[in-house]
Amino acid sequence: MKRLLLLLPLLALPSCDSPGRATAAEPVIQSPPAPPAVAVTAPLELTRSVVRINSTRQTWNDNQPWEKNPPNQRRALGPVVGPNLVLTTGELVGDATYLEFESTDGTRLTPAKVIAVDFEANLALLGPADDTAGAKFFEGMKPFEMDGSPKIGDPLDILQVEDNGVPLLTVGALQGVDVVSNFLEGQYFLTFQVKASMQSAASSFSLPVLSKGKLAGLLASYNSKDQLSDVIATELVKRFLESAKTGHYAGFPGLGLETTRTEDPSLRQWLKLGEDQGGIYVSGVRKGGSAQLAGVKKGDVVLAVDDHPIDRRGYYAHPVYGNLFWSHLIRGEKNVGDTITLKLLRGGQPLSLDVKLVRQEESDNLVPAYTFGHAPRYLVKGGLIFQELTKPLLESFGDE
Amino acid sequence: MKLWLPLFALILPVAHAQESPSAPSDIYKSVVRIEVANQTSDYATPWNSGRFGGGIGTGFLIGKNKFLTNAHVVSNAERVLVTIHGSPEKYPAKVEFIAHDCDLALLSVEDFHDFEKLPVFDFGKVPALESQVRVIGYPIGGERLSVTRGVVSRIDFSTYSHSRADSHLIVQIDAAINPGNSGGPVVQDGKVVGVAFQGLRQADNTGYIIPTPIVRRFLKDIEDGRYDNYAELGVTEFPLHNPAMRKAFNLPDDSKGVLVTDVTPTGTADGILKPGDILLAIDGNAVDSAGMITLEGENVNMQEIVERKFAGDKVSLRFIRAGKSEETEAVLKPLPPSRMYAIQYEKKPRYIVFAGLVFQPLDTNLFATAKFDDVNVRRLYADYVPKGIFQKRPDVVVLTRIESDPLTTMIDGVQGLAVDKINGVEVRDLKHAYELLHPATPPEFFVIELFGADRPVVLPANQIEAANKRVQLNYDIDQLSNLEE
Repeated sequence: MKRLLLLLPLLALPSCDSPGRATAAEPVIQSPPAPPAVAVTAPLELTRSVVRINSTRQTWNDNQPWEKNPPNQRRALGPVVGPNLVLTTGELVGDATYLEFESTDGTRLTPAKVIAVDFEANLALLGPADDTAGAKFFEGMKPFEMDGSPKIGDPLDILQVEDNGVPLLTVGALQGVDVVSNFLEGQYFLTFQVKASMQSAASSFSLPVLSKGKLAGLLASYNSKDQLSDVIATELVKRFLESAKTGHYAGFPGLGLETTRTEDPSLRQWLKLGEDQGGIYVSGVRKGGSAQLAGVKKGDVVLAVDDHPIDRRGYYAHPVYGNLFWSHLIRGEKNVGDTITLKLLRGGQPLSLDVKLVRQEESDNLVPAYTFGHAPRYLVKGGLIFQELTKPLLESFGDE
Repeated sequence: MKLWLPLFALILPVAHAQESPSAPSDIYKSVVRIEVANQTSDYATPWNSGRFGGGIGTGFLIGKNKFLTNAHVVSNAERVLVTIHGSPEKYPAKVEFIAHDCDLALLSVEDFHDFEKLPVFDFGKVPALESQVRVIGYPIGGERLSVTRGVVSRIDFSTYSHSRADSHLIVQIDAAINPGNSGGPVVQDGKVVGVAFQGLRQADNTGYIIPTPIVRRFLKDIEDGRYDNYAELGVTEFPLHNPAMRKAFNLPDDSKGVLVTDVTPTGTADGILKPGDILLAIDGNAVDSAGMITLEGENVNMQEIVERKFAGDKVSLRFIRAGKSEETEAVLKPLPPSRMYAIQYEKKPRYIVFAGLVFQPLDTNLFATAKFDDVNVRRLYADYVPKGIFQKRPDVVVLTRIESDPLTTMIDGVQGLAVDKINGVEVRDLKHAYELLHPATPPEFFVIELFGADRPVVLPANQIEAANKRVQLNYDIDQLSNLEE
């Protein structure tokens, strides 16, 4: 995976103007003007704003919890986002035993450390392990500025740096915005879907995504079949950095609600939901979560969060991105400690509840969904092995 | 026929001196070919008539108008025809008794006249290891009678695959037993020592026969005119080999006694044994640390004592509780709920179609058809007998399908879940579900709560009738419910 040199001379793709198309009228829909999916050489200056990150990762063997699996290495390209600060994905630093910055020209190296990491949002902020060595490493570096929120259809550039140190920009377009998970199952965050035809270059994990030369997001995954990238959205990166730079990363809040759609007319009738109303049915309330503490109950219907009405499928109208899943209103827009107002329908009667947002740490769960950086806990007694139940342990038994 | 290996060439071993030389060929006449047309219920669309099929098996005459064969030969039979070796005539027959738990059935022909003069088979003992036996039957590969020889290679307590849930004494032989052999006599010294019944797909030269203790028990059971399944002890045992465990229970290092880990509610041992007891002897036979006893010189599972008895018989149990030895008698009982884990035959699937929602009681037939992956359904199935769920819910009612209809088209993600409550009332069984769905004065809504669903299923009562009519017409459902097996 390291140093994969696959510099195929890209053919200039005929930018889909077939003869018949030439006479066609301007498309009315605001579809992306199909950017030429071509990599162009970027200004060399961009290399002053990115560093390579070499991550040596070693996971634990859940079947023999006293052992670690053989280490493996990953390489990423992280944008410099502040003095001596580099952004990358949480995935890259999960279970990392050694992290190292490398300048794109390969002339400088320095060990790195994690300042803040959020595995749910898949973001991590790194700094040098040693301040003086770090200051030397980052000399002459120029942190990226953050862009405002790009709109659907806007061109976005994915930055790579080839092995020879030459930066490479792949021009793509912001095709869609969705609230999905790009790393851990069930962790939904605002994600850009960028259509671009990328090539293999020296670093494959976590690439900066730029809008007019400013940082607009971080590439978390690329599907070469569909040529679609999942990019962690600008807002999310901004909010992560704000909190992470304070040195006390707070994490994103959660409501602790399980909900389901209310499209079924019989269900709506029973819930006394009007035809003009939306609303999602609360099928479960997590103990100790924000919603439970505020008094939300199973069987309630959530009609609106603050002033945003929620439709029967759980979407609300975002001013820029259109219909987004409602969880973004909490996770993507609020901080721990903020208060929101939930408009509910309980037994056919409207009800308004103020909910103070808290965060429940995954490690507090009875069966944690992830355990990065922690060895599995076990006890060997007379040849019997006892282990704490975690999702990684369950997954070690296979898909069934 | 459901068992069995592909056909393979068998080199007949040279006749052994042990085998009676006067092997009478006229006895072959008493081995009949059984031709069956059957109808297997369809649990996926329970209102349909099911699948039609047929098969060939073997049977043999054991008394006046009594033909013994395997239950699986005549399961779900709609028509049974019997042919004498070498005769072209087919005699209509009917199933008098069928025991699915031990895979045996007794047939009679409508007109016994042509069979009157045929010899009748007698039963012998369990054949000894290494002794030679003959298997007679009508296996695939030809129309005529076939005889193979083999040696008894194992005597064991093992699974009878017909019901998937029962284990009894079993004798393994190395003679070729092929599809069609089922129900045929296995003969030694002119006497029947077993009934050929199953094979093993992944091994060569392994045929299994039902030994005579099982056959005799079946014949005795039906003397009163009906077959009442096996009685069960209702005890789960755990071997006590581990020296540390033996020490913890204050037991000497003598490999005796087995630990009781679970006692089935309502079963024979309920109220007599408790988890934690150490069973030392059953009917005076010492139980070893693996739960085995020595019976007639053979090392067999302690359940074999219960196997040979009937419901109502007594069994004495000696056990240690809290360090003290106790002895008590238990009256054997059958455990009808344990049929949850056995494939059912000759039963019409029960169901309710309600506005396109299909409700069916959970059993192994349904499980085999629907392959439920919901954890709640799997838990209810697994715990049904061991945890006594059957006491509260004789049926685990499952919402198996939703046939598309304007009323239910937006209901999704609830198929394959078990029903907890209907309008707030816990559902006991399918009949109860039917009553709750057809009350004298209907409520405004039917609210059906399912285990593990993220929402209740709600149906406005005033639209049910119209939906039922549409569903009945669109999916060609003759009867909207069947509550009887």
